[in-house]
Amino acid sequence: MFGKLMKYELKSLLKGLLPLYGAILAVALINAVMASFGIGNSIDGLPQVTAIMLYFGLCVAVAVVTFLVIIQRFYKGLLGQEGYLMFTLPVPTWQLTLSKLLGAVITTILSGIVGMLSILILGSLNINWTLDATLFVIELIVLMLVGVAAMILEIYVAMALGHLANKHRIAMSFVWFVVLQTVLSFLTGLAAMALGYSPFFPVFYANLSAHGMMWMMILPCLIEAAVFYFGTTWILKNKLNLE
Amino acid sequence: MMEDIRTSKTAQDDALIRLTGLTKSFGAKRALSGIDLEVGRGKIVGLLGPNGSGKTTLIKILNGLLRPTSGVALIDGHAPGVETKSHVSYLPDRMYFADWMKAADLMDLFSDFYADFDRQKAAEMFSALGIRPMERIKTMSKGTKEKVQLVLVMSRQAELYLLDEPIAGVDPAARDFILNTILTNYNENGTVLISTHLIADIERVLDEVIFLQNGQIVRHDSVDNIRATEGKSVDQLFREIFRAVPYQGGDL
Repeated sequence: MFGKLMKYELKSLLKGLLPLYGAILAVALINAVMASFGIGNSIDGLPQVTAIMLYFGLCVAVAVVTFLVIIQRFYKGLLGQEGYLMFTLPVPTWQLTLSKLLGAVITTILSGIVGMLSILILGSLNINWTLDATLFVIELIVLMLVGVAAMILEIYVAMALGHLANKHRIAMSFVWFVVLQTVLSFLTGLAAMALGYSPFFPVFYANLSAHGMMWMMILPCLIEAAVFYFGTTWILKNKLNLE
Repeated sequence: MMEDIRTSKTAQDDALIRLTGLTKSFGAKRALSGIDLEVGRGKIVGLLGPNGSGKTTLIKILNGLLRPTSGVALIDGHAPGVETKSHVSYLPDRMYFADWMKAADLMDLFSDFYADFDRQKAAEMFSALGIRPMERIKTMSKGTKEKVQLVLVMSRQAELYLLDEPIAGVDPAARDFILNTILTNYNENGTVLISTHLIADIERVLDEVIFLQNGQIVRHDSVDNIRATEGKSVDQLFREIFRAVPYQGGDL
């Protein structure tokens, strides 16, 4: 059943994004071709400038649309009218929320890959590769994924909390997001202070390798993501309140 | 093995729907207050009441779309959940498909998730209605959209059909079509619960009626019994019951 949920989720998510992906790659290619002709700075350069502007515009569009589609798929897909369809399917709630999350993460990765590809096509990637660098890149990708998941889930949980209100649900979702963000900042500050005053942490921290530092960032994100995921699922399972 | 559990439940409890002290509040407002109800199998039941009497709330609780504030709702001995959802076919009072979906996408979705969905039947009904499977639902007229959802819902061999206002938004000709679709397609061993305030139109198809007022059941009886004891149609009785208390101000 979960596979089927994912199928519909990805279908929904990619309907709007695939054309954008195609466009950005095509425009990158046009830019690369133009650059290879080496057009100067006279009036002949106008098409080139236009193409570059178009490329950056599309980059922004992909980022914004990815973000909006992810939020919209959760809000409209579960808490709006489509929720009547999704929540009456014979699947447990945790699968519904997980399919949204996985779909969102996959979409983010895809947008990231398309962005990288377009840069490759533009021909400006030139990295000195080592094993340590590879490990770093992997850690960086893990950090980005977990960080993205944590942020998406924070938005999910805010929307889930917002939908409990009988009126002004979207406004309440914003309020909840601010509250959650405030609590998070407070807890982070508190943890930093507590660790700073503890006798062991500064020593531990000073001896930490660069890789260790990465994991010090990944771990809190992971915990945050887990708490938000189970929170969202719990609310939608036990407190569901569709309009 | 699932089947065994279900049969043994059936032996103990003859009621398909069993509600005990079911209450649902929205803030200070009470939509349902302390409802006790039993509905059997193989019946067509009208859930009748004026707007705001709690019909939709009741149906949403049975579908697991709302959680009761207190009390218990059981379908075939199970609280609303994965088990009940695979046997309940629900027509909501609104459109529930995604913007991008075509009629064929919804058929795919129903075949994927509901083992009791008869795709062939749905396809035949669509073609009889002149609905092309590759047509986007979003661009269809309101009446056609409602028909699409009804066809999907009635193409399941469900144990319980929960139809929320299936005839509210359509013209009389479409009403006849919808009622006939329901009558000719439902699983005869299953129960159909139809909520509406348009009683005259559906009275002829009902076995039982439940009158709901201000979140309470004021009468639950068979249609034959009402006609025999009251000497009037359900529609007349409905009008009387709900006219008798015009300005009661609400004991919400």
